[in-house]
Formats: sequence, C-alpha cells, structure tokens
Amino acid sequence: MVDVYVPETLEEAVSFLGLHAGAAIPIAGGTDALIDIRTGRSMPEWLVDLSSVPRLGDVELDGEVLRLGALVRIRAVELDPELGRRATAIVEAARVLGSVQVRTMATVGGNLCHATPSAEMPPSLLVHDAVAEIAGVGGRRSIPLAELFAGPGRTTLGPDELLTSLLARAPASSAGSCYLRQTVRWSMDLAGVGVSASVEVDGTVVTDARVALAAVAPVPLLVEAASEAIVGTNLPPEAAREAGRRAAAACSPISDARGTAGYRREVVSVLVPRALRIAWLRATGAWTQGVPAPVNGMSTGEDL
Amino acid sequence: MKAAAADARRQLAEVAARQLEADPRDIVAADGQLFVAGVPDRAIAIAEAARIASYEKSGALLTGQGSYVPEGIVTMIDPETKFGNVSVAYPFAAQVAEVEVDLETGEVTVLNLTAVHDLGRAINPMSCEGQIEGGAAMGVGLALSEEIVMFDGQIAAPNFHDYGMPTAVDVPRIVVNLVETIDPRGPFGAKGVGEAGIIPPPAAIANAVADATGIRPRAYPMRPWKVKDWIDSAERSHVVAGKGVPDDG
Repeated sequence: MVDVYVPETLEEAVSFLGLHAGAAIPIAGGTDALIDIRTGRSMPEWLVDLSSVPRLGDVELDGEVLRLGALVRIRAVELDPELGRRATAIVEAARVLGSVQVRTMATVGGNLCHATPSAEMPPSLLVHDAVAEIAGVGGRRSIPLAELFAGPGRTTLGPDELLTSLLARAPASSAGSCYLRQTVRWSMDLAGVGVSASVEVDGTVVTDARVALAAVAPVPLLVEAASEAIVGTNLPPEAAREAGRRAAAACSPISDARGTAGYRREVVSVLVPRALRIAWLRATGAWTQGVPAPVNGMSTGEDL
Repeated sequence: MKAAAADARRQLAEVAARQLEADPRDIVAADGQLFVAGVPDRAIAIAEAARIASYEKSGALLTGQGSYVPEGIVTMIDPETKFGNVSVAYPFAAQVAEVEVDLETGEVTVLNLTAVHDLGRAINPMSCEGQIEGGAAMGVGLALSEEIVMFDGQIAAPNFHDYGMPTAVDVPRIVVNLVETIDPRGPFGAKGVGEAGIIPPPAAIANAVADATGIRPRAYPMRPWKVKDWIDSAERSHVVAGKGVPDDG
C-alpha cells in the first residue's frame, strides 16, 4: 500500500522527503515511477506528488538563458515554437520521447531523475550547457547537469533533495543544435543510441561545440574531445568524422536487446557527424527554420 | 460459414413456424421478417424469433454450425501420412514493398506496401481490406522488428514494448487491391483472406532490401545491427561497390 502526500510548498516537499528518507519518492508525470512500482523495481511507502508546488512547471526565457521547471511536460517542450528555434536539440529530443500520451504526462525533471542511460532529454540538455538547480532541507545548490547522474537509475541527489529547474543556454543567433537517435522502431522505443550536438559559429567557422551521447555508457556523456575536433574549422567532412571517431572511442556501450556493443559504437561514429552537420547548418542559417531533422539524421540527398 | 448460416436460418424458421402454426419449409425471410410464403401480413421479426429461441434454451444463444468437406476429399488430413488438403479454394497474393535503407546504421524503413490479393468473391470488401492491412502490419513486424530475445535463458523482451511490435507510425502506407476471380467451389465464390496478408511482406521487404543494398538478407527480423553487419561483410568481400550515404551534403 502506497500513500500519497501532496505538499504545497517546496519546503514541505523536501522536509517530508528528508523525514521519510528511503521510504518516499517524488512523483511528477508518473510515466516511469508508476511502472517501477507495478513491476516491483521500486517499493515506496510514500509518493510525494509535486503537482501543487508552485512554479515547478514554468518555462522562462531571459536573454540567452532558458529556465525549464522540473515539472514542465515533455509535450509542452515539444510544441514550444520559441524553444524550437533556440533550443532545437531539446525540442527534437522531446519530439521522439515515448508517444503523445506519454509525453503529455512525462516531465523534463522526471526524465532526468529516473536516470535511464538511454533517456532522451539528458544529451540534448547537456549540449545546451544545462545547469541543474536543486533544493534540499539545507538550502539550494546548482551543479552542471552531467554531475546529476551517478549510474543507471541513480542520481547524486540526496534523499531530501529535489531537482527544481534547469538553466540552459539558448542563443538567439549563430548557434544551432540537434538530437538524433537510432531505434528498432520509430515510436514507443528507447534509443539504441542517442546523439546530440550543438555548434556556435562566426560566419561559417565553428567557435564552440558540444557533443553528448545517450545509451552508450552507464550515464549520459558529454564528449569534449569530440567537439574539440571541429572548433576552428568550417566543419569539413573529415573533421566531423574525426569527432565521430573520438565520440565512439569515449563511450562504453553494452550488448542488450536493443543492439550489440560494437554496433552501438559504430552508430555513434555515424550519428555524431550527422548531428554536427545539421547543427552547423542551423547555426549558419543554411537549414530552413522549423524543418525538423530526420530522426536518425539520414540524408535523402535533398534536405542537407 | 455459409453452412453455419444456413443451419441458423433453419432453426429460426422452426421457431417462426411454431409461432405461425405453419410448416418450417414454407417460411421465408424478407425485410427483417419471417413469414409464410405469400402471407407477409402475418409475420414475426427475425430478432423476435431469435429471442424466443434463446428463451427456449434458458438464454443460450441460437447457434448455427456447419462444416464443409471439398468434393473428392475423404478427410482433411490423412491420419497416417499427415498429408492432406485443408482448403478447396486457395487465395493468391502478391505484395510490393518500397524501402529505404540507411547504409550506415542498417535501419530499414518501409515507405510503401502494395498488396494485391486474389480472394475470390469479396463478400465484405472493407472487412477484406482491413484484414489484409492488419496482416501486412504484422508482416512488417515479422520482417523488421518483432523478436523474442533471450539472454541467459531469460526472455529479455517480455512485453510489447521490448518485443518490437510495430506502432501506427511504423506501418507504411498500404494500398490494397482486391482481385475477385470467382472460385466455383468456394461459398459464394469466395476463397479466403484472413491469413494471406501476413505471408508476403517479409519476403517483399527482404527483396526490396536486397535491391537497395545488393546484399541478400538471410534472417528475420532484419533488425538494424544485423543489416549493418550484412552490409559491412559484403563491403569487406567487395560484393557491394559501396553506394555511401553522404555525410557532407
């Protein structure tokens, strides 16, 4: 039997979580938490329903800084036209997560805190330099998003702590990003490999870049060596391929029902150049705004 | 089915005959009514007759039964040899698949599927198309994604999520053409359609993959890592000249 506690303030939420450490888990959209309970992977005594805590569902854009509340629904991200222009990778990741029904319930914070290695949102937020804002009994703290993940299904949050929001960089111009993934089917599937890239340019020359991976390591990976391969170039194919090779070398995939380790590593080396290419085209203005990338970035010879 | 329907009609006629104090052989049906031929003014509704039949059997449904052994066939399956002939009128089908293969990731997308089925008389054409489309969707799953994966003796795909059943967006546009060549031995000239839809898609899709890539798939489902492995092996043995997917526009 699971009881539900509905706090009305953040302070109530974290103090209850602290008091019932190990026995209470926060619930947002419930698309992961309820399945975990039903399958016996999680057996809490208390669900702490965050839906009445103010401001956790807010989306704010202040200059270049995007603040996404932890309880923002994936579907809301997917359908936000301003985010589509300025945080394209985040919107593209939202677009392929689960199904419409799942996205309508699932939240950004839930997708991050469930810490599934194949989750869609982490790599897209990582390439937008996301910072995780955390509240606990002892106060608030902020960490780079990469430091939130401790392993499959594990975060670095304390038992009394909640992820409250994410601060991400969302430049208005000379920047582009992209999220691609490989799956067995196109919908209702987990990524075999997820790849996100962001690029900033001066003219056509790359001044800054990020590459992040999902489903190929115990935690989402930000691969600096990959982005370093293209900074200072105007993204010739060889530089993009070198970034792909470095990303493939940095990951540590496993073999499971969604692919073999060797295959996943190869797909990383394929998707990273594609993601960088699309991000660069967006940054330089060569990509028609509002046109989504093919889910796996495959060129049909017309779109790139 | 036709024989079962006739059996149900015979039972209804018996009920109507009792109600109308007539001979069951004189009962005819028209406009939802049962009546003695030539006397439509004294009639009983078919629904009412069915209700009476059900009341007479403590609420059990009126059920017709029928079976059919084709001419010249003594038994469907020979008990000794297990050989036999399960149908008198076999359907024929041809399906055409158009696919897109990502040569670098091995992902196969079915863009279009055309299904031409010779099913004899299509008694309910919309239902026939639906059955073919449903069968073809299952065939796409068999071809590309559905698999019971085992790890250390455990089923690693114990649900429809991991098993890989196609969703609505994985099923391509399906164009169905019904070819009605009437079979004199089938009921009303029908042959059959239920099973035929699922059989051709895997072969059609595998042939389309072979046409697109130059490699001949040898196993279902053609999950991406298998296709990628086939393409890579073929490239190593110089079977494929290597079309290459442009990564530089």
